[in-house]
Amino acid sequence: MAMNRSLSLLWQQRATAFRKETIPYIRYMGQSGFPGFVSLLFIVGMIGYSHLLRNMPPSFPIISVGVIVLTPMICWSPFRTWLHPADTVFLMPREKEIGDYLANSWRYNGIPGVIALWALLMLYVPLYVKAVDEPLAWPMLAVVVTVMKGLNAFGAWRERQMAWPGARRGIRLVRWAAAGLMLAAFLAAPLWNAAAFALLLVITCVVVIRLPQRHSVPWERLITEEERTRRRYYRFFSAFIDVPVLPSRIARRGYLSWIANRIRYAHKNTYRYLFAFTLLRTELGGIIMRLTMLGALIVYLTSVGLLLSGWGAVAVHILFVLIIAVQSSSLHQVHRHSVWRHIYPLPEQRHDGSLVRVVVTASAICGGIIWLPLALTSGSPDQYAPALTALIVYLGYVFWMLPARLRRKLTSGLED
Amino acid sequence: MESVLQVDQLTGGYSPRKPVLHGISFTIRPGEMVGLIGLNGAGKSTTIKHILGLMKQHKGDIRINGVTLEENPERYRSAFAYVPETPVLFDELTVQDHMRLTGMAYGVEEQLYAKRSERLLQEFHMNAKVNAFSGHLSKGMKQKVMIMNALLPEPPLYIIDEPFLGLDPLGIRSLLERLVKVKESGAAILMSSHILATVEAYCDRFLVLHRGRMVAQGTLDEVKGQAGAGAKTLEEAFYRLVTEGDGDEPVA
Repeated sequence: MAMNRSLSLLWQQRATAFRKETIPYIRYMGQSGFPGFVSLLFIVGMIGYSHLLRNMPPSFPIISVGVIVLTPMICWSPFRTWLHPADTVFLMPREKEIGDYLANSWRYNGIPGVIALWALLMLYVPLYVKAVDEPLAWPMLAVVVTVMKGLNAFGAWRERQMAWPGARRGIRLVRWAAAGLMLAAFLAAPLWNAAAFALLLVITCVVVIRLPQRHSVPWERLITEEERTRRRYYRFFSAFIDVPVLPSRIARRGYLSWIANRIRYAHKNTYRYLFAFTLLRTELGGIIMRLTMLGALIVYLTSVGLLLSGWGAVAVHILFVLIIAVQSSSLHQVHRHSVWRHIYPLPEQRHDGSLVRVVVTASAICGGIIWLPLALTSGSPDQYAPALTALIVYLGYVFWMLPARLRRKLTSGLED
Repeated sequence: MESVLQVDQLTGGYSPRKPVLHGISFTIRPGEMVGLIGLNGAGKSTTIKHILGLMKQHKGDIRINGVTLEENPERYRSAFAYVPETPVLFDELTVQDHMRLTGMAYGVEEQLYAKRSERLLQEFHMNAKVNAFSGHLSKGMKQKVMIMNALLPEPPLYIIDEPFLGLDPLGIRSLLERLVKVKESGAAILMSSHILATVEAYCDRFLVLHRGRMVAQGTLDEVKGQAGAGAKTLEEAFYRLVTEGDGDEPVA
């Protein structure tokens, strides 16, 4: 019993340690413009939301929107354990007692997850009730999504236990698909029909989950996930302040890395080649890609909704270009201390020049993608002004202000 | 014959007040393989870092191909390839990408790069791993990638720090065979290692460092002579050099 308490205590200590470790970074984030930016985004979002609520087009795809928005919130089941590699030596011998340790993790991740889901539901329900003829009563909907969240948390745990990565990925796909279908059924079909359908899906999932081999405690998986989460935090903080460099997670991204492979084989392109791969294959690339998609989506929605007669979309576009530029600028931190920088027979200014070029190119391409929905939805000539303004401002920023700012940052970094 | 690497009265270390190296001098000529040996903490890695230009010397002069790093950084750097003690690879690059990057960095012609990388992959049995990310390679394979990258530009000087760590027997053999060929083609090699039997078998000359000083250098016979009568092997000579007289004063 005393041993159990000590493992639970260890969990608490680790959670506190992480909190203490991140507080200074959170302070830096607070001092930056970021909270202001988030509030702005929130206000813009709220204006758009109330606009939509008041003037909902009859063809608004409310069920699809519900599935797209709520499914990820239901399925996404992060699990912070604070486990690290040394635990396979020191904690693994006490695997029998780990349940108590992990119970803390269940609480820590489960409760905020459910609260966030309810918050999202509160935003969705008014739209849903307005758009659907015979909506499911909202308390019932709350019960349904909460139960689904619980089932998914359990399913995600089972996935973590799976011994083979292929099985894990496959089952995750099944789980997400099942959750999406189930939610669609509850939103669109009569309750009892939906419930019967859901039961069928749950049984299928339970059967599928039982098939693959699994670990009782998936140590390596939990350690990897913990590392990944930690890296994500630091990647986020790195936008505001220099952070300790953690090894970054790599994805092959064949659908993007062909771009780097197109860089011509030449002495002067050495760093461009390296930075292009760094940008495309590290987490940075993932972040920028997601930001681009999100930006394009919000620009599309604000532009179609004619928020502030089309100028809302311009503001969103510029904001996203700024965030993407800031994010991709953190590329300069990745290989800052690489030994090869001192060993390769290449002049130092080429390092900086290549870096600026890669960041500018990436920002320009992403900015262009975000701008497209704005351009495509400007139907008549009197609506061209916002799209044109956005284009000029964004190109001016990316090709004129951004390089200068980056170069200043790089020279000041050298004096450290 | 002019030396490829010339280290003259090198005194250096992390802090000017506490030098780690004390007045080290040696030269390496083309077509020579030179073994740098010493106990842990003797100053081998520090010496190598000074040669690479990663550390600034307090006194003394280091020339590669006749120039110092300050005089002509690009000429200095393009004249050598380096294999670090622990592999330092880019996580986001595959084995192939690393070779391409090295080829670009050292200005190897594209066709030459294609030919050489193919041969190296073959020689080090890495064809199956050509598209693997460095994070997915074992320690020995990472070391192989480092070695392949060093061999790709075919520079006049190789600086190799503990190359055998983690290599499997086949890898060690490929490396040694390759180094012999490289040497025969006229390149110079500075290799630091603890595996004295291998060093003895392959190197032409030896540098024995102890507590930051050069306690002996020369051919096997010369080093044995400096160690005192009776030393039959490099290992015996080395043992005497680093245990007798506390090593603070040069024995020779």
